[in-house]
Amino acid sequence: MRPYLAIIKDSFRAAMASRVLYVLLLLITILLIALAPFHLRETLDWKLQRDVNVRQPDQLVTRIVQRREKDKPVARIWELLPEKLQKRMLKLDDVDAETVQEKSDPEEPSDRSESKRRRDGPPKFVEQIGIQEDLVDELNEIIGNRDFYRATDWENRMLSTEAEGLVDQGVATLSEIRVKRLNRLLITTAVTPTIDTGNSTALDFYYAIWKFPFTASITHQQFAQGLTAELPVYFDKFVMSIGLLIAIIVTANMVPETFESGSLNLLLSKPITRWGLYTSKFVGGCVFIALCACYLFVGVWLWMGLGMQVWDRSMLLSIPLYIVVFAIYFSVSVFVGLLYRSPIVSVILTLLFWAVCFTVGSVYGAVKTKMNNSEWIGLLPMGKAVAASDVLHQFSIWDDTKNQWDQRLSAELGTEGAMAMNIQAYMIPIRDVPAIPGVADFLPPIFDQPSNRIIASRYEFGQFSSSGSKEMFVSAADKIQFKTVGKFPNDTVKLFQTKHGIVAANGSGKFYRLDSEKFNTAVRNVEEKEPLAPAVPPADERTSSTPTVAEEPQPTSPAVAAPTKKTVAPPTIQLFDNFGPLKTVPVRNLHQIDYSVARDEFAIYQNGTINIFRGAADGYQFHASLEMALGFDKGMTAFLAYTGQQILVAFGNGKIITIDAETLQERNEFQPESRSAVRQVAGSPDGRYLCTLYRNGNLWLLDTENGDQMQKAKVSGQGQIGTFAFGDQNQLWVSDNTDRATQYDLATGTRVLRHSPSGDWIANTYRYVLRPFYRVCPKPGEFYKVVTHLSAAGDTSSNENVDLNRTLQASDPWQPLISGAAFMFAMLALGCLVFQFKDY
Amino acid sequence: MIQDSSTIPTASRVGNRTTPAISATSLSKVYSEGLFSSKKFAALTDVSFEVQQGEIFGLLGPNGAGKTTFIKILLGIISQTKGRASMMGQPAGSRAGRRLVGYLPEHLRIPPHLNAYTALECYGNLSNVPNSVVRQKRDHLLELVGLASRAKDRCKKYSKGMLQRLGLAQALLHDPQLLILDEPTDGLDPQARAEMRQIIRRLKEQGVTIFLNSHLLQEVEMICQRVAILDRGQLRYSGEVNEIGDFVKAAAGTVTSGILIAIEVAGPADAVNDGFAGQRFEITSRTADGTYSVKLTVTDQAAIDVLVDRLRAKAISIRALTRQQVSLEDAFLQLVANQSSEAIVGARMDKLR
Repeated sequence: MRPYLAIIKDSFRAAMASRVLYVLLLLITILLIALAPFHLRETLDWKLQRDVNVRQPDQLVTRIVQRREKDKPVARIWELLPEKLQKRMLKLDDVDAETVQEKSDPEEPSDRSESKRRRDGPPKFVEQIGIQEDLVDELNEIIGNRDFYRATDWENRMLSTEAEGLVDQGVATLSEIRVKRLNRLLITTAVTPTIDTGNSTALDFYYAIWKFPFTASITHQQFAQGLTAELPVYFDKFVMSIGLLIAIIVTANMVPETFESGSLNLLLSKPITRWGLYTSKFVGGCVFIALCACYLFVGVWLWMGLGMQVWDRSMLLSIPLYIVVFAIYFSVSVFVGLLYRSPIVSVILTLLFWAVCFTVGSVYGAVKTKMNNSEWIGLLPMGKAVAASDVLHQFSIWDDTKNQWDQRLSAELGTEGAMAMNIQAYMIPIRDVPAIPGVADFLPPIFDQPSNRIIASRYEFGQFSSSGSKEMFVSAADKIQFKTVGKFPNDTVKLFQTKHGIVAANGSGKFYRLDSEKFNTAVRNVEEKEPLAPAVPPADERTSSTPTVAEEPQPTSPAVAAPTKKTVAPPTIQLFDNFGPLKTVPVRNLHQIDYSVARDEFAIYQNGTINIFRGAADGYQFHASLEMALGFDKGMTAFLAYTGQQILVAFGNGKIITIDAETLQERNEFQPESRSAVRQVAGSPDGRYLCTLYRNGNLWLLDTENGDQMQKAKVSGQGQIGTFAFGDQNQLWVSDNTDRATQYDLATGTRVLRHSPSGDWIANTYRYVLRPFYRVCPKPGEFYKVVTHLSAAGDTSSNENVDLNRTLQASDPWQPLISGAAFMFAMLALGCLVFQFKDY
Repeated sequence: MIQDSSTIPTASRVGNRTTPAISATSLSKVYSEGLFSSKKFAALTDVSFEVQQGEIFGLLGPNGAGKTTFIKILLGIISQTKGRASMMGQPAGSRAGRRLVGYLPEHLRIPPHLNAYTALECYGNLSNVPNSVVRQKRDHLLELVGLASRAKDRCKKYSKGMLQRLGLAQALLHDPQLLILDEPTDGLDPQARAEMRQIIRRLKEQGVTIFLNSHLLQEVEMICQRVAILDRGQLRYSGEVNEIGDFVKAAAGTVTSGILIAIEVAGPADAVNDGFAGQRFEITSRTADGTYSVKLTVTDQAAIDVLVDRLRAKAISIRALTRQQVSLEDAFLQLVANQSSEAIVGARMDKLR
């Protein structure tokens, strides 16, 4: 070992002697000195930010104007507003009233009013925005007013616990910042729900003694989570790229210098192996860079800990990773040096190689995005057949004769929609976007067995969320041709086939039943090409006010808001009828609601509570609720499946809890994955099987009649599964490898059917050319995936409060490291081989 | 300045003294020019000779003769195309063989960031010598090669001769049984050369085998017992230095045996002719005042005495008489080019004209 250590030591001596090391260390020191004074301090969150805290700016103005006389807290705000702004607000409210009158015109669909208002002229629109901004500024002024709180104004209002605590301390005794916090809470309560309460704390940033002129309205925990998730990305993209360039340049001379004949002959005459000499030279270069990397990353880690109070292990994990990244390219540099014995050629060819890898990675990324966006995100079993929908809401049916999926809905997209869809298909990795509620959730199709029809929605330009009223498309299941048949209720999040027919649930937690008679008539009318009167949403949705989301504590009942003067004209055809409940619970997204046929009950998850709504002839009504004893953040994203007698809730931290629907007692707790977020949960119709699909493509199966244990499902394509669905009689459909669908019989554990398309040229090029080549090549700029995966932000086993749905997760985080290391070893082996048999 | 070499540090010289230090049997090396080119160049062709342990052996040859190729094959720096070679009984190029060898390459380059101490530490470690041993030996070795006063200077400040001295020191650090020196006196001043020769002789006395590759024929003649001469990859001679003349003469087919003498006489032409009658002689020069330079071969010393008596009896004045030997240089030139140095220079002068 001594001879090889001597070579490594000599490499180090050479680096020290060339002063490169000192220069690098000096540069890193300057960077660290520049960073050191940058720090943050936690403060109370008091400032209103229009784009962050004001949910409905237009409603804020309206609310203040309309309640300025009958509501004391609002009146107090109103009297502190400047007279000029008051007049502008009053004028704007009159304009809005006129606009509502225009809306009542039955010939114009209500959801076009906003665009029409904008078309009517920029001055009104600009004035509206101007007033909103001025109002927020003035509210911030009021927040700073120590005399804002008067006990008499708040006698009949329920204040939050925090506000009450501050009031109890006595406003006069409060510090300035606490007064601001109190006033912020009071204003929020006065105009709820147009302004959110914000976080309890915010962050001020400082450089030495100088404070930055803004306050970040985030908690320190959110900041830490964001920093640990994002910093590795920036370090990978910039520091590692620039650092790599410098490192390759400064080490390029190591091998050519050694291989000069007068020097090499002496080395080769020593009793050492050639591969040992070559590898030691390589390791020597890596050790040199490792020293610099240690200094940089430990320095940044200390700065983050001391200055930002974020002790993030991902910085320390970056050290070996950066060394591996360097080693990958250094193996190329060393090999070129061995062949050409020229530092310049080494640097040029190594950087060229880097550029090729980068290009391959970029092309691969774009095509992969396209492929991922073509991936099935939903399967719809229809008896023996199956339909599939992709992330862009394109709907396909398997065609046995062509051995392909037959796309049905894309033809109905307009030019604008098709263009936008294509841009999204290649540019936006929708499936990788963190599953923030509302984002990338579309209304899934449903199969109506009695009428043998598919009821579906479609992609609409610029529409990511489920809000608004979507058009309803219907087609016969055996002869696919979609026709527009009316509209879904506003803000519909999910459709269910219930004992009472098809029921739509919306974001406000209301249920609407599809009137089968009217529906069949409408469908017949459309199919016979008879003119159809404009379809409209159900009666109680025809108001201009957005449904109240009952997330904030409400002093009054969260029942349906009373109709206002803005009610529009009655509909000519109404396909959906109200179907309960009186007491609503908001449904944040389609994953938080499910229906059990066996019990004719809906279950809705909301902030740590499961609410059960039981079916009756007149609709679904609140039946019971269970407040779950969670040891982590209740606001975490959750996925709920309700089937048979079981309720399964899978949380953003990967934890799964099963509940007995009869007793509402927790049955079991699982955590099969701690580094991947949940993508989908569902249960078999009889309630025996419950499946959870994670974002890493792994499907876990819980057989409640066989030990109640969660196991990895015995299906092919584990790790690449995009979606699954239960058919009748415990038949499980699983989609993997982008658009392959396989049917399994869970009772026998056998494969029943497989739809495996032959693939188009893009798919084939991707699978057989691009992907293999990409896998072999190193992947510059992708190593952050490993760090993020290993960091505290990516592992809930060490922090249960991490919501993996809110962090960006790579589909295959180890891939860059594995392929990079494999490439490095291959290059080293090749170098050793050449060196071993070359004459000098 | 190279110091007294009476106390060169050595380890016990082990090994079977009957095993040749170097053995080459039908050793051939053919270089291919380029990866896909069919052009080939034979650097060595069927070279066979042996170097015995404990001797100083010189390898001679003109540029491109294959001397360095031969050394590189021994050390495993290149591989032979055909034949066998061994060092101290170990196959050429094997790690076991290299452990026993100290090597001073031609055009030695020591990394400029090292000084004499760190260089010795580095190369010592490469020969698996622990740092503690290096530290024990280094001052003495540097004193031996005359570098003690510059031990802490960076090698980039060293002259070529100083690098050669350091190269010799590193070659001795692990007490090798065989020392391969490729142009060891290259860059040294005359005094240092003499001291280098002294070190080499001293090492020989301690049992170290020296394999010397040098262009300086006189130097080789002074210290080597045996030599091998390579020319265009082929072995022209291998044997004792003092037998090379006979070999050359035998090769030329001039004289099979006897003593070549040169005699300078003065006297009348007839008398001179009479004096040498019965001998096969050659008058190489004649001056106007009647002085003749004559070369001839006689059987033994008694024949010389008879010849002198006869010349004196004819009143011929003998001005000089010397026994003639074939120098290594002449032998070398005759072997590698089959012509004398004067003839080569004459031919080149003719070309210039």
